[in-house]
Amino acid sequence: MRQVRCEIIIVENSFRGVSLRVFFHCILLLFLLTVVSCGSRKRSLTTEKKLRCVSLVPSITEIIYAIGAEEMLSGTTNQCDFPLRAREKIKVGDFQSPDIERILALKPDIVFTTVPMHRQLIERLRELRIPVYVSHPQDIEGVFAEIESVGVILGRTEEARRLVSDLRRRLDSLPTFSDKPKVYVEISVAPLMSVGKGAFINDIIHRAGGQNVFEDFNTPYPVVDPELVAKANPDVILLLHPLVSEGEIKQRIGWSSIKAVCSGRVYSGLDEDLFFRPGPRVVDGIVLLARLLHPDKFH
Amino acid sequence: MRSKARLNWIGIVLLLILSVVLSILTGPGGFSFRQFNQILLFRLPRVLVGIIAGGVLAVVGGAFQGLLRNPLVDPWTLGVASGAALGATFALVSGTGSSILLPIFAFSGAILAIGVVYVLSRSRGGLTVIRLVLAGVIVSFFFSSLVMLVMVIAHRSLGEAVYLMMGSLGVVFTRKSLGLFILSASFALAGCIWLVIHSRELDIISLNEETALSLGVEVQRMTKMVFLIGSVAVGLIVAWTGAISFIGLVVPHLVRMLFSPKHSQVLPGSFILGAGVLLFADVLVRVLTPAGLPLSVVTALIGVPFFVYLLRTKV
Repeated sequence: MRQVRCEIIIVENSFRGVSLRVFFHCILLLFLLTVVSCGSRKRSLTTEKKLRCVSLVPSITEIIYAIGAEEMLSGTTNQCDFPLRAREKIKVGDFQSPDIERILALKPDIVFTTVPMHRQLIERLRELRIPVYVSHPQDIEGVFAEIESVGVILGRTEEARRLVSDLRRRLDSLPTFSDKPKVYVEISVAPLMSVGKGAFINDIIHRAGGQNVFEDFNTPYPVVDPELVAKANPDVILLLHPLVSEGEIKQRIGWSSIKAVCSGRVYSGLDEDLFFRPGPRVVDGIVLLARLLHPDKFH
Repeated sequence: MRSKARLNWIGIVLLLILSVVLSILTGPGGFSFRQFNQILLFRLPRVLVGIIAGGVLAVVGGAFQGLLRNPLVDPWTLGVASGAALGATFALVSGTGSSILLPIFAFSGAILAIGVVYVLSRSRGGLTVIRLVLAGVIVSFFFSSLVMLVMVIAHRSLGEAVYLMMGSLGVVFTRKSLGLFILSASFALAGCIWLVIHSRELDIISLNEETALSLGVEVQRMTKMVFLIGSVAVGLIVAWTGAISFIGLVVPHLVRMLFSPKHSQVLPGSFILGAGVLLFADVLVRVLTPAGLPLSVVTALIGVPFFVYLLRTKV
């Protein structure tokens, strides 16, 4: 805007026949303004001045709120719905297809992204020289490391460290589990899908003292055959999608002899985000699952 | 020539029998986990779904290709699958908590799409083929974008919708839903039988409209009935299996090359070959890839080379 106005002035001036010197002064002024504005942007990243960030990842949005840095958050996606206040932030589109123009309009100093979802977007943002943070935690330790990194970036190092040590303490306070019940997690029914080794939930099950029946699958979210579930004979069934109720599992043909169904250890209606989102609430998910898997260890 | 045709018939029936036997005997659960009865509980419904889905899709594909006089038409050209996807999306975002409601929602969506296509394609001059195709394509696009809109409004990620209606024979049945499936399947089969009975009219329409009219075929009424009955039949299938592609497009062509372009042969042949190919592809998926490759990928991978072979030798 500023640039355009200067140019108009230049054009008007040259029409009035003002000497070349004024013209050069204007150019010089323009140049200086650009340098100063670039410089100030760079400086704001290194000092602890207030940044403007855009989060395209629901779990990072949760981290930003948990470390009390929400005033730096200028934009999120439609899926960033926790905490409730996050819904009121400006939306830049869907988690899977954010709109780059809306991101740029917010003039972010840093954009939080994830792969593989945002791969192309990340390239484009890098071309535009906008700093990008790429989130890709593989397990719970990865989440803790990520919380600390976000803390460092947003100048909330202390808060982040405190949050991580709180979360760690809660994990450590869990009892030790000697037996590991076999768990089948269902995330979709048409087609039937579960979780494999690469899935984040696999680590959650592990930490909650359970064993994922499909942990040999290399795909994070494999499509599984119903007869494989019967063969695996899980002790606990966890339904992480809204299409099926506990009672219905009993009526599935061929499922009535599965241990979890016989003993009534089929659970549904849990908050799916606790298990799918690699954010601070993941510890809630672990504690919740541990209570379901080992009711005798909790009072 | 006649004996060769008979040999081809025997061939496709044998393929179907072989596929049925293989899909009962093989599977990721192996052959001998606990009792065989236990396995049959899983595999027999799957075989049933495979036969019905493959057969009905191929018959309707063949009938639509004849009706619309277009070799690129498949059962999904006229918008049924997108309607079913929209219905299923509503089931997902409303969190019905019952898997029997998923096919019911999906079928309602399919019926809605069929209704919209029907209304759009009617004109003063009556139902015309070109209007039918255009309405089908438009409705497909419109409903697909509605799916995305619903997902975004409901704060769900679009990936869920993609998987929701991905074609698969692995329907998880309860007693109730198996009963409902058998009911849907009988209606879909009745539709196929109606199409086979009207093979002669389809033959005439597939030549051209003027000839059909001069031969006393009520082209408009026939067009309307084939569209409605065929669409409802595939709507009944897509509600359970999702949109399985390729079978409905290529199997009728294969049968035309193997036998004759007459619908009295194309349609029954498509049923048998469609069922056989789909079940065979499902066996391959289950044996080779434990993590479930999409069925449509495999049907295309085994169907295309065979199709190319026929194209080079028979045509």
